[in-house]
Amino acid sequence: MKKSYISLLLTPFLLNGITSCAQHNSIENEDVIYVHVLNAEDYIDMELLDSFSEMIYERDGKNVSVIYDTYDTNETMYNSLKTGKTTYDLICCSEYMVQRLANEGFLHTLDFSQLPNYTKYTTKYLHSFDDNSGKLNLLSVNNDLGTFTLADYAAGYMRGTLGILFNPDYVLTTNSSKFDNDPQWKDLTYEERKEKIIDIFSSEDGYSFLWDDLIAGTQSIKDSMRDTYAIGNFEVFKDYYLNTTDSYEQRNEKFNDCSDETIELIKNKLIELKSNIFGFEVDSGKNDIVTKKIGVNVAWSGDAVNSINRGYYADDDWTIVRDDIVELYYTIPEIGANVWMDCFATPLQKDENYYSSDQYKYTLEFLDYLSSPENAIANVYYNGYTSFITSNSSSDEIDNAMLAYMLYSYDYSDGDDDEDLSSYETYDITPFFNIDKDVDSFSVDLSYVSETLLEEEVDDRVFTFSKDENGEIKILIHYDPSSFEGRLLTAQYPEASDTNTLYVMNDYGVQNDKIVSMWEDVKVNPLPLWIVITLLTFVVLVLGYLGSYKLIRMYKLKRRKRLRVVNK
Amino acid sequence: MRFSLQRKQLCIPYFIFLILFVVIPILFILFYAFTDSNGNFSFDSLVGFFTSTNKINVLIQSLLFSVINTIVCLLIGYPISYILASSKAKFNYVVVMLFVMPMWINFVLRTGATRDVLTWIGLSGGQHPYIATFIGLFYNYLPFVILPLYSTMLKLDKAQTEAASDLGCNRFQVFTKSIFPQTIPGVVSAAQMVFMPTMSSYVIPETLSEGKIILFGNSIYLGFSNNQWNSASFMAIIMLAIVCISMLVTRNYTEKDQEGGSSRW
Repeated sequence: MKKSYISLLLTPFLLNGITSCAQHNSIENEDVIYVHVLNAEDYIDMELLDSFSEMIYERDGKNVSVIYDTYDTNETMYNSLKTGKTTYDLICCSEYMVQRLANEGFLHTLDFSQLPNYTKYTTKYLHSFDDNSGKLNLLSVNNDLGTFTLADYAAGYMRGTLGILFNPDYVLTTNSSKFDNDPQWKDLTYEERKEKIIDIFSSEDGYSFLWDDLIAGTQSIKDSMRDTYAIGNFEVFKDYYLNTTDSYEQRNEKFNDCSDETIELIKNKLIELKSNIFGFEVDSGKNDIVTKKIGVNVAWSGDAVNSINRGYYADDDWTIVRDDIVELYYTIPEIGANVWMDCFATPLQKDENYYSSDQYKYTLEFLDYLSSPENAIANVYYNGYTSFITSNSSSDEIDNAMLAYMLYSYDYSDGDDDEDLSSYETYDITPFFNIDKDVDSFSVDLSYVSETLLEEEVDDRVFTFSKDENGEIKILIHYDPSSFEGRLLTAQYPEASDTNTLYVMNDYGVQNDKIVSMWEDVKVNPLPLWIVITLLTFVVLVLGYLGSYKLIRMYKLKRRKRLRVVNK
Repeated sequence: MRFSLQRKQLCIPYFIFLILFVVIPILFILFYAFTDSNGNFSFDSLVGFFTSTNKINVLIQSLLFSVINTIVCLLIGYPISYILASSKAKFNYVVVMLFVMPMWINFVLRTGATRDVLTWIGLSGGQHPYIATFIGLFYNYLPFVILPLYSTMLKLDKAQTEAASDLGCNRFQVFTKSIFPQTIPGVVSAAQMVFMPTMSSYVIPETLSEGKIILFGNSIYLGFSNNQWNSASFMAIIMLAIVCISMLVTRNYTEKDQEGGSSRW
């Protein structure tokens, strides 16, 4: 979702940043129902569009064609929605943009009773229907119709965190002289240093380390106002986050603080950071860290998964392991992190009959179709992000598909029975799977995701389901944190203990312009004094020369005239 | 009625193109520059621009970048074009082609490759944003200098230079009194080809300085991408104004240029 915007500049007209790739049904029929969908580039398995049409044709005998358009940034999408002539039935964008659109009355609330798959399989931690505990429920919406939360308007698609992706080896070799001279680091061996770097990034000092001179010039941060503002927020309010006893909601409010004083504080912090970093990027970082141009990258978890994979595999199919593995780690600092969610929403249509039309019906159906576990897996497999759709607590193979897929990609099949498991640690992923309180046992059938594993069952070494005397359920994964699979796992799923510090970022609303100008202050380099002085002297000299030249000329002319008069 | 194609009518496609892609967009820019976000007439963007130290700062920096880039490109390109134009070797055309050939490759790809090469030789934008950006600018705009200069110098009046040296000019004087004045049209069109595009360049500073250097083009983009269409449009107007001013300043020289018919541009 967070995509390059360089391509935007190359399109001569902003509005053409939207490209259309219609998936027309092969059957020519006047009664084709078109469903217009707008989504980010490379975000969906295109085969699903056709299979949806086929599914509807077989079931209802109707021709439904999904017209699928894409955009590159949330802002492009916003501009095109506001100025464009095309109306969309379904859009997908980041949570803050859905919030902005809903606040401006652009969206229609979703009727979740028509989305059975979504309500069943969505991660309750992110989107709750029973109470207000979900992350989407935290984002409030105020418009002409009343007060809502984003949980009324949006159906989640993909989610992830903003964390730190790093290559400890690169940092240690590039800045080795700095580490050798630092009193705290010089006596450590290489392996100890590496351990220490991994620890620091996941500790409460994770963000502060970006400001540290030790890693100067190896780190790149996001060239995206909102994300970097969030990093600045964690650094400015570090003491608050560490010492506070405030509730999660209060801390989330602090995270969204955009008062003038906070903006000023964050601005100064970020200007400080700018002098320490390698550069800003939104798109190149995920490649640069693999090609060893940088060693630390503030990254979105989806990109991190991509980079970790490419650091490990030599080919695009991810089958051949590289000779020179680039060992990349992704972590979210203990102090907290931003969790982002890309959601589907339905734009408001003026025509009242629309909401009883087939077009609307099939729009919701398409959304629900994407929310079934098998299609969610297809999309996850395609784009590498982590889906809102998760597993439910039953032994039905479809219900458990997402957990099975996750264990399968965690490469359970490699587990050698004789392997020494003493180095394995447990990783708690409970919040991301929906388990009812009354479930007592739970097993995962991998046959759904892999036919070759038909006979096998997941054993306790990889995955345990436990229930203590208080009825508290835990899903634990046993993993080696430094292994390739372990590194992937930590990028895709934050640990349960971190979930209390995952914050949701609101749309800045009226403060948006102030934050834009703060961002300008950060990005624009002030002119050095000597350049200003040189420029001024230059201008004065030129003006002085031109002025005196004219004066002298005037004087000469006068003198000539006078002489003429005298001569006469 | 018989339809007869007149010469005038051949211009119609061009005029349609002109109106659609030049006139109407400029009107749009003007509209956005002098309205507020609700579409009412206002001078907010104008006041905002001239009271913002950042924007003035970016403007001055971009002007400086453009001036330096123009001067350096001319300094490098002038002798090269002179040598190419004056020597009689047959491979001249090939050498000119070699200079122009990078222009056939997609601009963004080329800049990406430049970034890799600069990292490889240890001049990456992360450590040396200014050096990297300038190298990228010189490299990209040098062909724009060499081509017009080369075509002007091909038409250099040799008799004049010989006369100058016969009449007692030393080599330096020959250059300043005879060669340089003859090539001024080429120099001016070369400078025009470099100056304005540098100001508005976006990809080169963005990619090669790793986002650490903001020129006017980047600044305008920042406005558009953050939904500040009005102030960004006003900045585009400023850019247009600078183009007009530079055209006016160099008008006298370019007229000569057209009379001579020496420029391809």
